[in-house]
Amino acid sequence: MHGLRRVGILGVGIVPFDKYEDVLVEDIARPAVIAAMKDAGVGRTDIDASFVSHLYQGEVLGQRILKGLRFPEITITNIENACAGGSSAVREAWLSIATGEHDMVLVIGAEKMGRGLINFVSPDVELTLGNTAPAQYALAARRHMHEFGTSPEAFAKIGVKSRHHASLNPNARFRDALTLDEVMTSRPIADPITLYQCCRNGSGAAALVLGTEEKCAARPGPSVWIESSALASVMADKEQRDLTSFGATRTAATQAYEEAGIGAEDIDIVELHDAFTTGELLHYEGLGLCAKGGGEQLVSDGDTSLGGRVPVNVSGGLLSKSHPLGATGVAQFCELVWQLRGDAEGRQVEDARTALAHSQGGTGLEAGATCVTVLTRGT
Amino acid sequence: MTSPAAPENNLVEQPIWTGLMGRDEGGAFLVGGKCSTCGFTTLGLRDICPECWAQGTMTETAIGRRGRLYTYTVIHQLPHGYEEPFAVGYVDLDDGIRVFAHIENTPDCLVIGGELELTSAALRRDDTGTALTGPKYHSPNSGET
Repeated sequence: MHGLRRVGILGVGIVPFDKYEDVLVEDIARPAVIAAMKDAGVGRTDIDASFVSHLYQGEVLGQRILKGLRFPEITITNIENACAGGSSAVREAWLSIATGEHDMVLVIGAEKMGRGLINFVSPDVELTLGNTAPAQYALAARRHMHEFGTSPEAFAKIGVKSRHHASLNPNARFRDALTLDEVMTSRPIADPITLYQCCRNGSGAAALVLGTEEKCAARPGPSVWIESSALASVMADKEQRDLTSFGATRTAATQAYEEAGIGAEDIDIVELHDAFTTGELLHYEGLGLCAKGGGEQLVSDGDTSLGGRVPVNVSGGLLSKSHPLGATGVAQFCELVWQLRGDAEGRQVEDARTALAHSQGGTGLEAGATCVTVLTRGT
Repeated sequence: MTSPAAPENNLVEQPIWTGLMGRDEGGAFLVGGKCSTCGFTTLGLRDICPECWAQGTMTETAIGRRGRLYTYTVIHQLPHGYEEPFAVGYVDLDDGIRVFAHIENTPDCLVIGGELELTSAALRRDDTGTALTGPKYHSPNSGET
């Protein structure tokens, strides 16, 4: 895209994910909004519009949240794109500033979840026949094992890595270290996926303030720029496709790299959609962090661990933070902004200059959305 | 396959998804749609052809009798209505379509690339105890069980 204005992230705020059983979703979300606004150093009259992501929270969530903070009558758009809703909201906010419609925009992701398997609302023959979210990722993993000789341990190592990273992040929910044996022998969910290779449901919220270059200049400290953001879909309809990688991840990544004028080798840190360990390994390949079939080698060499070549999910990811659907994609940006500013105390990726956020959602492997966004550190 | 005991309400069984399966002299099949305008084939009979967008041109055709296993998993965290772990997979049909279905949970059936043939089987019970039937593939070598 040409002729776009430069957009930066001025402020971030998170309400660490947990159960929050007795708290209304509006009350979960408001502290995240306040934190992001304070971090940006702006007030409610500075905000032109808000994009708000959620999946199960009913009508006009954004309006319900912001009226309790006495916002003026700004433009509010509520966004649903399954588990990629948060990143889709960030992308819409970016575009609304980049194209000149707004100068400063608030992004909110909030979700309050129950327990157990995600309850898909839309009727679908696969789901009726007993397919589940973990089973979908297990089906992709099993084919990957067949084609590339990937071992079940490769996936389990990602579970170990996630908990190690989480032990360093006070915002993570599950911070106790796990051994490879503990991950491998935890309760089977959908072969080869075991319990500690699945993200848990969670409730929580995250918020960002985005603004023009002029707005960012007013904030002290290093700026964080959105270089590109690409949103791709999967529209397969019972076709015999390659399930060992996610086509929408490849498409969105290719487009995001191209628009940012960089390659996968330029990425210093990644937050990606690790709803299941098997998904993370397949996304390494889809994002081009390694060649196809190279996922096991990458994780075994420690390349995606803190201190490695391209650390992935240093926040602990969905696996250790849990997964409040609409908030997840927004929270990834909180971690990446802290990392790019050099403020990720105890888990800082050294000299992180270029970051990638990836999130994925849908009702199955054949219908969904994937968003890839590239961020850089300014001066 | 195991046959669940008949429930007391005499509703012995019913399809888990109306219009998904049929049976003729060749045995169980999946209901497909074939567009009389462009020849495109779908799983399920649809009103609009996804390829040429013609409306009302799809006619019923039997598909899915045989295929090969593309991938599989055994589901242990059970969705509502299931009582024991069960195997599912994607089957690449000779008709060029990929379908999600239950697979007989035995080592000779859970072989990627292995030949499979379709049966109709009770997959789970609903809340009234009625057995819900749907597609389940097994290896032709495993015989009718």
